[in-house]
Amino acid sequence: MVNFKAIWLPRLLLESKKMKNNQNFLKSVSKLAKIIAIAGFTLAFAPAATAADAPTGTLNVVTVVVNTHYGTDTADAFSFHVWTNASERVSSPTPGAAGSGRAYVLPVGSYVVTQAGAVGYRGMWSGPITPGGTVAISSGSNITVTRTIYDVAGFNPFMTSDDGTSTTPETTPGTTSDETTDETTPTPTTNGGKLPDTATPFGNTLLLGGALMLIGGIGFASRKILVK
Amino acid sequence: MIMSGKRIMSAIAILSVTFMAGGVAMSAYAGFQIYSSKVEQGRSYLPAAQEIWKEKIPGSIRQSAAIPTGDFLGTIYIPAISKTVNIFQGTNAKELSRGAGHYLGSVLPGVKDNSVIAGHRDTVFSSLGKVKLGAKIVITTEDGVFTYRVNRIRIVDASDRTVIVPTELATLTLSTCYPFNFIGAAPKRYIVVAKISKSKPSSITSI
Repeated sequence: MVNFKAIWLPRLLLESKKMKNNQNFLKSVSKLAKIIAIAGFTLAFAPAATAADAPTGTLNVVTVVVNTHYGTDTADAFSFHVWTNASERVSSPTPGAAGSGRAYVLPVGSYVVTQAGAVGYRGMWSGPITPGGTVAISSGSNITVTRTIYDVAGFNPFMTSDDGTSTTPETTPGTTSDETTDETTPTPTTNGGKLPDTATPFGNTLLLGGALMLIGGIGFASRKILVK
Repeated sequence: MIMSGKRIMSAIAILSVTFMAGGVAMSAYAGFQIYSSKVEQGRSYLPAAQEIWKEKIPGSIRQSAAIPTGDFLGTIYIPAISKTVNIFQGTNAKELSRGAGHYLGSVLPGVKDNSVIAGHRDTVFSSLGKVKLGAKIVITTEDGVFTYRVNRIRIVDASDRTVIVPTELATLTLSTCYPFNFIGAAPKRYIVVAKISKSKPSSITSI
């Protein structure tokens, strides 16, 4: 605080004075914001105050990983991209984050969020986002979307095995037996089901038709002999 | 009353012609059905289906029971016999005349548990007997591309109840009638069992 008063306060006052006469109001506001920020303060409007920057909003992407089928991956195993108009990437791939998620401050507009990650998982969006991952950012908005990623039964733990010899753990990590009956679990295969009838009748019909033609032909050709 | 020779000859002639006509009709019907099946089985549904699948919402696991009977499920490709077969939901005569049928009481391909697919021995699975242990089987569905390796081949009675059973790992079971060249209703079933070796869920690539 001593430093602030001695060094930054005079500059702050000088800039305030300039503001009154300066035609470029926004520039001065920006400088003010920078000074205050350097001095240890933060201003919420600082990034948006420059004339060159467009208004922004905040997008929070929360990653929830549901491991109920032997999966062991956590949120940071999945990476996210934010695209503008589904063509230009506006962020580096960032690992997923659980809890309050990962925040992206974005200029106003429409964006597409994509997720990549380990094999054996399927994800779905929830919140103000389309199933395809499109989200609209308006000025000053603070949007939270959630990517729920389920481990798919049948893929773990042998997703890296090429011979199918991996063994299945006796218990599912982090789950109770009740959780195996949720909607993500497929109905098990019937135990002792009857094998389908895979015999086509047409081959036999064709054969029977041929036999009838043969019998008819022989009968017709030998009718005189039969009568004698 | 004794029939004259001429009348007997006429009766035999009428009977013979009836037999021949019946034989021609049956052969024509069977031939048409076999031809129609061949045409239907030769159709490629996958490209169009993949376009539709792109629009689907990536979700969790699809339940087999939620898919209507007769729906196109995907394809089964067996490189060892250079055969690609369409898979339809259900194993009734209608589905089996169009391709292979997915047994309704089993999980979908790619899912942990036993997915059962049946086909006719004289059409889609006519060469199943040439598939050896270790052979690759690739299934493509809306859920992804799943590669299996054959690890067991069995010949069982048609009434066997030990084939369609739950399994610990993701398994694919192919079933067809046996012997392959048997005339009439084949008394046995030829069973090919394969375990999953690679999987590529569609949601990972489509989002």
